[in-house]
Amino acid sequence: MTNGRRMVRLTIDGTSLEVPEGTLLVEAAKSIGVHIPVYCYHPKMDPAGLCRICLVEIEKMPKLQIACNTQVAEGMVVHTASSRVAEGRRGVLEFLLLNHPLDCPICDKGGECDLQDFTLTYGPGASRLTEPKLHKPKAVDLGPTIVLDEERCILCRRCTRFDNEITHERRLIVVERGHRSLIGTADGKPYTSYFSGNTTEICPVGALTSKAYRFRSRPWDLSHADSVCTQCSVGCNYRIDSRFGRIMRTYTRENPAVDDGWICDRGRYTFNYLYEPSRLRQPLIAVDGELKAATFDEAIALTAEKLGRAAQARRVGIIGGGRLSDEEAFALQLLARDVLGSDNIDYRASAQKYASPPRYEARLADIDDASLILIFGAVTPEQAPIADLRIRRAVARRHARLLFVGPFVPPAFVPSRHVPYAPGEIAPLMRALADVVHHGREEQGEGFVAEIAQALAQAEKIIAIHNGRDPQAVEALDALLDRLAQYDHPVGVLVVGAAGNARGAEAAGCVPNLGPGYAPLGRTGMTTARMLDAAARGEIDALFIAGANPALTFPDGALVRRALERVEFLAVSEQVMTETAAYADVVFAAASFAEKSGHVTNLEGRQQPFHQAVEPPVQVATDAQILAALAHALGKPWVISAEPAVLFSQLEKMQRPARTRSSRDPLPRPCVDDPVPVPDPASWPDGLTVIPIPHLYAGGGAAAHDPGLAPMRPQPFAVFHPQDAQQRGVADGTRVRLRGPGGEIEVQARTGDHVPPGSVLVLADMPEAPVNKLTNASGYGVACVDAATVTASQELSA
Amino acid sequence: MSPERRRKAEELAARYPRRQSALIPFLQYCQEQDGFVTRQAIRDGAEMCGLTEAEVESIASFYTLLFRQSVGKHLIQVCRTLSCMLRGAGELQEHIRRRLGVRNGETTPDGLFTYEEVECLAACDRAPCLQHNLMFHYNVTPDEFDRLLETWRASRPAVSLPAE
Ligand code: SF4
Ligand code: SF4
Ligand code: FES
Ligand code: FES
Repeated sequence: MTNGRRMVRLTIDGTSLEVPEGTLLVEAAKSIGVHIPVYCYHPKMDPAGLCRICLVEIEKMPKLQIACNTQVAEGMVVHTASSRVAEGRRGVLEFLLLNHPLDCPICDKGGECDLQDFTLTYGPGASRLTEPKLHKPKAVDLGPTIVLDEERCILCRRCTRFDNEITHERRLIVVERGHRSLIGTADGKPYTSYFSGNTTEICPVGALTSKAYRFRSRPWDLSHADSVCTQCSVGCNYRIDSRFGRIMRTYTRENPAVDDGWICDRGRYTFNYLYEPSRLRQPLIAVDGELKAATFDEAIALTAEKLGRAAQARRVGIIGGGRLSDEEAFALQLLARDVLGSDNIDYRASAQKYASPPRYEARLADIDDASLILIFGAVTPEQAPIADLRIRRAVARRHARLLFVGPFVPPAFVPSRHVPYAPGEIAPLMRALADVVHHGREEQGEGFVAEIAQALAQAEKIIAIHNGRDPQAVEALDALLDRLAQYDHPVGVLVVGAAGNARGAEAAGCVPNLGPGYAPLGRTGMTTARMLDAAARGEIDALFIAGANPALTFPDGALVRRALERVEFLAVSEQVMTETAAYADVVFAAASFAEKSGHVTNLEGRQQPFHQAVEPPVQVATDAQILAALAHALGKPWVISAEPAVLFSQLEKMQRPARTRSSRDPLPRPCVDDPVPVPDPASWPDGLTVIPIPHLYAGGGAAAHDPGLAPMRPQPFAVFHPQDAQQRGVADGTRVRLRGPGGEIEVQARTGDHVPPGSVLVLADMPEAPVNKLTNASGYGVACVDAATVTASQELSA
Repeated sequence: MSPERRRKAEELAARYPRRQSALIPFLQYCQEQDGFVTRQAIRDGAEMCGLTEAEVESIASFYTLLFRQSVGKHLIQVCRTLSCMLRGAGELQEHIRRRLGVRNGETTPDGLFTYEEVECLAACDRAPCLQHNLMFHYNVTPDEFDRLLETWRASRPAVSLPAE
């Protein structure tokens, strides 16, 4: 018995085997290494039985049967290689090829196409068709990422089933019927799923092709490197395929515990920025306020001198780590602590405070059998898309309840409940919940408390997901989960990271009060906010920023700008010219993840290795090399190795205790600044509360410079409640200026019922319109609509 | 959705254990009102059943009796599947195309006749089969078609499909 299922004995091609009842023949065969060809069948989706290529012969059954939708039965005797099966497959292939254009020589799939491969292995050598073939549209533009060849399509419906069963977006469809069937969308609207790229992989033929990879390479010419996506904190495993040292595409590399075999389009398509002119290819040094090309040694010498001098005066600070590898984040804190003798090191360049929960750490796979998923702060479809697919599955197919607590209704593709809470009200809510749950008085909570408390009390397994921004809410949640755990509810927490390797940087010691492995230091340096504050007041002389872009992401934008302008010396390590690097005196050209090896730690704390795929440009160094060179120039070469392997073995030892502790022992917490209140909208004439919202394709750096993402990238926008928009004369689609105490930005106005009245949702992390000009350290802000822009845009549209 | 349409939608939905089952009768109703299944009808159908527009479009496009564009007052559908083709449907189709001056799927400029070649109409025993506004005509020859055409020209009925 496996999982309580009865075992069934059967024979496949003379081999006797035992599998759990309910197993599909195709899977049973796979388990003993017998390959049955399939097209429509996909192990992650429900069987559909559409293409018939999987025919097998089962004794005592008169006709051939499809292996993909036939369950094993006791005593079944199956033949997969008999002459009847061969004849059946040949027949199916002849039908599939009837109208197939056979344009393999110009088809991207050639070389990894199941139609090509199975025809070669099982198909007829030549066609008997003498009539002309049916013609269908070719090179159909399906959306920003995909080109479709309807003639090549064999109508297996993997793509439409993926869009239905996996993403639950239900926008890709078959229209018409029979041989006239086409793949399409409603009314020819572009297919804009965040997961569209996966369809090009699961399409067994060359019908769905990726615009980024079209006509770029042949699969047999590609070199492969196993890597990990670092575009968000999920850490999907993927493969980087390159040719002649240039990345051609990325491809899923299934890790059932993390990505379940999928990657999102942000991850898949963010690599062409490496080949843009905006890629930094050599170090730069500011001469008379202008950044000029310099040698690596010059950049190192100058930076070492400035950092060294500032360190002696105890006026140095280091920010970053969330976009470095674990090894490099570790090296960065070595530079601060062991080379410069300062604890002023902080990876937190955004409003995020914690990248891990203190206790009850969950795994991504814990979402799968959760009965209640409680989300606050995080917007998983935008910030952790592949994790969101697990959430969708748990809700749509496993009856989990999905509860969003927060100021606005987030996008959702599966049924969910939104509980409206203003920013700053979440912590009191959690405390109230802990209180009623503790006393078993779930029905007595006020407002929404009763509803949530009852949902919590009834749930068999609870997963909470948040963005680690609100320390009080996180603390209150921990207390609440403690209560629930007492009643034997399995509970777990996932913290969605603001940067891809936020958790790795936290665990590597890039916080002022904790060393690697969350080791409490008993002393504390300055947090990012305090360093910036000190720099703005002229109390810090030199800042080093690596793998972070606080000018765009730090919530108190006014402070960041003041600090970066004022600080005497700023060195930044980056791959492209960012908003932060623009202020720098020295810019190091850093290698990307594809150009180095190491580890990254995803949001569940899983440390995953990634391997170098291509060489960096000659004058580009890895951050480890930069940090090692700085240590060397500062006279302590033994402190930092440039070798990831050496750094990793040091780090790993220091991380072991935290990893092996019991899940009920709290992890020491990174220190945080005193909470800053959410600005009062009444404090500003005609003020609205500014709520930044994340978007998968937003961001500075790589995302802003990648031509592959450009077609998907949104214009800066702000969403008003229809009432607020009307009162201010703001029409949908017009451009307006939002003005707050710290500055103003120009955005496109939209309206939506999902916005709470009195608030405005503003797209975050857009270099063209940085929302941090409007927000303060709380992460929220206040702004009004500049009336002049309203009249101007009305005149324009009139 | 217009209030009247919503009433109809609710009435149809109430007849089935699952709302989705009422989609096709609903689209037929919309077609009766508008002459074909409009984009608005697709949206209304999606709203009524909790489906996406794409799903409704997929369903609507599957059925040859749900029209996605306006059709002539007379809809002539000729079977093009095996039995009919063996029994002369090819010549019949050729004849009709010439008589009406249209190709498969087109409507005559006066808006009277729409001609379509469709798959098996399930009247293989009396092939070739022609369907005119839901009425079957069996064993149709080109001459027989000419006769029918005269009566249709005289009568001018409207395309009408029962709403359920
Ligand atoms: S486009 Fe590809 S995946 Fe989609 S139905 Fe056609 S062959 Fe299958
Ligand atoms: S979900 Fe995140 S880690 Fe996964 S592919 Fe997308 S961006 Fe990369
Ligand atoms: S794989 Fe079995 S029918 Fe398609
Ligand atoms: S083949 Fe024409 S009705 Fe069946």
